[in-house]
Amino acid sequence: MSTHAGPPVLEIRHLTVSFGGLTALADVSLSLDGDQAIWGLVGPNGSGKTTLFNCVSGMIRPTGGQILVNGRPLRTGSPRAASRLGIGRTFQSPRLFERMSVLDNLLAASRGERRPTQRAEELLELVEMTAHRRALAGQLSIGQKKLVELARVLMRRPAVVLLDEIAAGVHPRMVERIEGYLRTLRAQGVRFFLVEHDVEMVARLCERLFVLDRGRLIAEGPCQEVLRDPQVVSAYLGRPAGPAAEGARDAA
Amino acid sequence: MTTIVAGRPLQRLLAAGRGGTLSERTPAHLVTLGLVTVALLVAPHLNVNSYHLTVLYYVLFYAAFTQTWNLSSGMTGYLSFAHPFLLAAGGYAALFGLHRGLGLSAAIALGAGIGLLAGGVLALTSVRARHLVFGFLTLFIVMAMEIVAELWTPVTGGVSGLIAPKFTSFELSYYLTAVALLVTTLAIVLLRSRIVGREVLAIRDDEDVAASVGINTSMLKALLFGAAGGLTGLIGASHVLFLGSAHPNNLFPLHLIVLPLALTLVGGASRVWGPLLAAGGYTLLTEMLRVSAPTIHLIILGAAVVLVARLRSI
Amino acid sequence: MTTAVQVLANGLLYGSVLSLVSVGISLVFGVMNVLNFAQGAMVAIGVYLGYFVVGQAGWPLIVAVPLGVLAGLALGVLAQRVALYRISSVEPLRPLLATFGLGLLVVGLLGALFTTDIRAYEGPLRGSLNLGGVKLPTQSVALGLAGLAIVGVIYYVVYHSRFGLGLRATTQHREAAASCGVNLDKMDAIAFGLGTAIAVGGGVLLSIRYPAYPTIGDAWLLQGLVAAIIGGLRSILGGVVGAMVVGVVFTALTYVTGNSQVASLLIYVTLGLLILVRGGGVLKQA
Repeated sequence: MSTHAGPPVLEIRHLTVSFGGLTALADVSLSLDGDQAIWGLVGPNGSGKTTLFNCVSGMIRPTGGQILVNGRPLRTGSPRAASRLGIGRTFQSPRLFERMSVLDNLLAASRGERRPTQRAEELLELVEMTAHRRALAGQLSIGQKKLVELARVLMRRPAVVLLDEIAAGVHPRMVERIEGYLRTLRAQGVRFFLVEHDVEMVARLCERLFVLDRGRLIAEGPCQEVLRDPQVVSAYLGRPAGPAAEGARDAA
Repeated sequence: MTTIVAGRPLQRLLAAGRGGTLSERTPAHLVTLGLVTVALLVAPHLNVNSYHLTVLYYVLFYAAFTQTWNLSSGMTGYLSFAHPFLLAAGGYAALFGLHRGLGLSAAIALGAGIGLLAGGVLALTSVRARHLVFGFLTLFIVMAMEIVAELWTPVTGGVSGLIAPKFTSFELSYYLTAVALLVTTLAIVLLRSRIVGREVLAIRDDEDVAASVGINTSMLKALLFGAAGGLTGLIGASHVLFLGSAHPNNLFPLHLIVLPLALTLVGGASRVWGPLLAAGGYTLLTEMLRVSAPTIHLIILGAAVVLVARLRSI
Repeated sequence: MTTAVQVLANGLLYGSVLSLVSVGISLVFGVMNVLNFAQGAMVAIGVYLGYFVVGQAGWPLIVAVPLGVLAGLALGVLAQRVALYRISSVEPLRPLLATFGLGLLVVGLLGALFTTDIRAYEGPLRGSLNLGGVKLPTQSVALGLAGLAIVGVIYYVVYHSRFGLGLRATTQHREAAASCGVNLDKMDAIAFGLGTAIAVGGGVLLSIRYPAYPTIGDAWLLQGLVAAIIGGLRSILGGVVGAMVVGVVFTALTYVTGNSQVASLLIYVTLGLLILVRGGGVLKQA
């Protein structure tokens, strides 16, 4: 039960995505309530996590269902509509504007901001990339690109940030750094919805967890509970399996 | 004052993007632009013969024609083969107006106006079709428009074209083209110094992500192609007055279809001066080599495009 | 009724010839994911070759056409190495521009070498045939059949040879083919070589009926692109089918409107609307 007054930050109702006989998402409903700040979405490869993100961020048009942000219905299939309602999103492989500088990447996302340069510099400072502000985005390392992408998405002051495997392909020290930033941002009131394979990171950060398997929501609840759920464990390890020790590992 | 006159939307559109690397040379660009303006004003009055003046005109013409392409296609990454369509729209419209009794200024304005509408056609296409498909379509658009020009005899004079009544003067065409060139270059400098310029370049780099960070890609594409259309229409009106006629061979020759693309890419798309320098170099080169082959244009431009495609990221 | 049959027959014959262009484009696109804008210019090279070798030097077509095919193969491989080597995978726009530039360069060189004068000669097989009440110029029939024959040879190469297996694998999935040991560079060269070979060989054939001037290939390029797109851009058969469709439609429209330019215009507009309505998917592989 939500103690937070007001509609959920993000609500997905009966979301379905199917193309050509393949069903990527089947009747998925979930709700991110305002009294929490960091949610996780996990599941084996191919379970539909990225598809769900693509729907919410407007890159795919779902076959059925509805998405609401802060109670307002989202016009599907339009990345710009999603942005205007407050959805921000990072990508598994960071997508920066490669031929622009780091600072210009942020400024490109600054429409509507009263002091764009100041805010851009604040965000760069937060992710400790100020020294690279003039560097060409295309020449950064993966980890650095992810940081810039995070800063850029924050320029829009989104209602919720969808983080698509932000820890993927990045070495452990950088993952620690990122986690630190997420905690700081969370304290400042920013909300995150994480898709992650790094289950330990999920366990450390997330308050509530949703589990997808083959396009369906198979579990949701407080993070630690869900991670011990036998159904979840078997989904990760493949069938059949009995209950396993705590800490489901992605064996795929 | 600006708030009252221009209104909040325009003010927000023109928000300055201080600090980004795109804007740091703005003062230098503006100074250079001032110097170039002075130079262009002075040049016709120097004691040179009419051959040199003609070459000077063509430098200006190719430079302006290229820079308007740079403003739209170079900045957004929507490479277009249909730039001659914008030129021809302006040229035919201006002469059509003159033949129907319009005054000179009105006819030129009509040229710019029709050019703007033509730019609107490209803008609409760019909203419906992405980079590659758009480029492909523009090839068919320009070929189709050439056929229209050859067949629509009541308006365009068909295969014979339209003759310019006796308004032609070198100075008029020269200054009109110079104005178009300077305005376009100023627009590029201003774009680069502001947030909106970064938004446009974001369209070029990754349009989906641009949309997902809230950039209004459709509006920006429409604005730029419309503006380029109007400016190129103006150049077209000026050019037909210089040539003395509007004819499919003058307005739709094969080399004009690829010229702005080649010169912009060689000079650097979205750069302020590169494309202009490339245009200048190109004009001088073709003038020097003209005696060896009339199709020298195609050889140089073709080779340039191949080289650019091989060596540069587009 | 006879008129309709006549138009249809002429259209199919024209389509057979056009398939030389569209099959070349489809082949290159299937393997390299690149639209070959130089295809028209390559046909022009063939037409000039035909003019000089058949028209001036008097060699028989039976020798000249295979000569053209071989010359085209060599030229295509060379052109691919020079202009397109390994840029196909980096950004889709670059190889497209490269082929466009290549086409322009060729047209410019032809103009520089041979001036823009129109050169034609009296080709063999003049007159017309009467097939069941339908009157067809003999040259058209010969061109149509020979065009299909050339396409047939290419089809055989692609579907019944080792090279062909590599080509087909690359068409279906470039990365997978590479990881199976297919040499992508070699495939690209072969595909472009074959596409150019069809173009030049076809051009030699066409010289019996069409004059040689630098830009003669441009109209065929545009129609060939339309045909290849209609045919799905990936298969030889598709290229032929698309060419037949365009051939018949073009001939029919020319007959109805009395003006081949109007026919072209209508075709371009239709293609444009088709692409705008259906979205850019028509131009993508898979």
